Amino acid sequence: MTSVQLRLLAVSRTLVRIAVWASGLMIVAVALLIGIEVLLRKFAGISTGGADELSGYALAISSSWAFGFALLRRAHVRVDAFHTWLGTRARAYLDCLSVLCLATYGTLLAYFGASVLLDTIELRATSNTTLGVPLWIPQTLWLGGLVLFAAVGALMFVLSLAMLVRREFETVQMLVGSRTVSDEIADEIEPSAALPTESR
Amino acid sequence: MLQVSLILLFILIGLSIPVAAALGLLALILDGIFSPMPLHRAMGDIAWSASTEFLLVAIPLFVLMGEILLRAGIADKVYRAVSTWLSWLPGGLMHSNIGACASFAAISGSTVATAATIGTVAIPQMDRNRYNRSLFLGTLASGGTLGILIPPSINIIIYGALTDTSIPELYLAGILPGLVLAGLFLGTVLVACALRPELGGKRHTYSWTDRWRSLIDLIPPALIFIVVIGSIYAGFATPTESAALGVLCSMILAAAKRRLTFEIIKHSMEGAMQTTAMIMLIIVAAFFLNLVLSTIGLPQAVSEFVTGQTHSPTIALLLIISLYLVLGLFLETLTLMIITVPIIAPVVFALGYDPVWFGILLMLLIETALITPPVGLNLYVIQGVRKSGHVNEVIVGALPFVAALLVMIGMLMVFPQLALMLPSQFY
Repeated sequence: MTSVQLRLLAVSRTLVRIAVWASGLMIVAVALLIGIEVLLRKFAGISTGGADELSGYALAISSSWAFGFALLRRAHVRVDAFHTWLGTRARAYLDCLSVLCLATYGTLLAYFGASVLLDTIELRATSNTTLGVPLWIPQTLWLGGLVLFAAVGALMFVLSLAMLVRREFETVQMLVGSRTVSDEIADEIEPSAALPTESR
Repeated sequence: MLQVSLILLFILIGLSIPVAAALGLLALILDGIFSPMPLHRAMGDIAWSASTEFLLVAIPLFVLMGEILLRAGIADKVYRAVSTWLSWLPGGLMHSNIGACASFAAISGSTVATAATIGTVAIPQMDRNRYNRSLFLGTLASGGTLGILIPPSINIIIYGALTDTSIPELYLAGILPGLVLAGLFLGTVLVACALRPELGGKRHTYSWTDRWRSLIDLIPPALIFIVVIGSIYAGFATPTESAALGVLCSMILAAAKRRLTFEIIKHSMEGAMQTTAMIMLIIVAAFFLNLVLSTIGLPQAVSEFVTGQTHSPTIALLLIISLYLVLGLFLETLTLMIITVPIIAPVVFALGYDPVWFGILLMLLIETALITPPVGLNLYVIQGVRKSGHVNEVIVGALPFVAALLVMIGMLMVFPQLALMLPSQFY
């Protein structure tokens, strides 16, 4: 890959990593918020309310922010029962097609997401609850994630297409190839996971 | 319409296009061809409403809980405690494998996490105590599948969200079949070792003092189970709220074990969000596809097709079960569930079957799919954990447990009360 391409890849990796940490923190915050609400309701008889609504927004925002991370980690599930029987070259073509489809889907989501946001702004919509949250706030954050996902998808498509043209099939596999089971395991069992040496 | 939809689906999936994109694009294509009105404008609204659905907030929470518990270092203690009770049986530690998986299933909502966690602890014992490798690995792969049957279960939440079925009822319904299935797995090991004693390795008998003392190590997971499941039935938490309490408990537990470090939090968050993003992207597409399918009347078409083939609900159900067994050979299980449930579940309900009961039946079918080759995730998880030998050993070892699962499926069909008894006590 050229230095520009490597640079782009590095930048997008950094971006999605920041986004995924933010989204992870959001989910931890959701756990705290809901947990506190439940405990207050049960043991102090105070019902604060609103945690369910806020955590719904947090789910939408955090998952859209993590879409790009999952894409770079090649974690979006594919059925590769037939794929694995093909040669490196045919597989690289399919991998490229896959990321094109994912990028297209991401772009469509971002496009229709934007129209949801525009409607919200036009109608000055607020949520139909006691919190009355102006919906443009969570929706803008949500859309940001979708746009990031679409952009990362487009970038990965362009990069893998460039590699395909240069017949660097191995690089295509590395960029957008199907996730192997060893990737799967590596995630579950990195060094910090349950340490086998400690068993007895 | 039915043929076109199925052919398109198989082409997209067969080309190994990411499932989320395949479902989303399929929905748009079907909308373009068959729908009387353009539905694509609803895509944005559906994406927003699906991804703010409070019930689905349980998904990242349960995944995060599992990721933390995986790293909290409780698996080895659980394994040893279960061993003191079960490893005197013919088949020794293989019973501990199943028992530990069942215990871990009660605090984990996923099969991969269950199999990988217990597998990591158990596999070093395999050669040391001279067990038959195949059967030993088979107990781990199949024991891991209990993770989605015994509550909490992420797959049950997705089923509940797709079919609008009560999660608390589904959770209760899963408990008894989960225990019976664990029993059947233990029985399978006993029978195998009775027929061929050389399969079982070294057996250990522990004193009663050891056994009682080991129960202390089961307290942390038991507490988490009580908090997560108990809070639902004590009536003060919804499934999502119980998941939040579960995350907090697991963090406290990890902190008590001095495992709540920055590294572990970072890895847990990354892992949890990666899985969540993967699931949510598919769910958003599936909700949109659902709308398109019901607008163009596909579930009715399937229903008419099935009832046109046979008038007996039992035969129709057997056909559906065989369909799942065949598809389960080739499809990854989340995909299998999300693409079939919107189409098949209405048919099953129309035949007069209970949605809660079918949910449990579906979990059993998914468990079978998880340990049947060529695509059986748990087989590869266990193979990946041991990092040597050939995966065929795991595949062969899991076969007796596939038989046990089929027996369980049969039992659930003959005695629906296995699943429905507990929920009927509460609801």
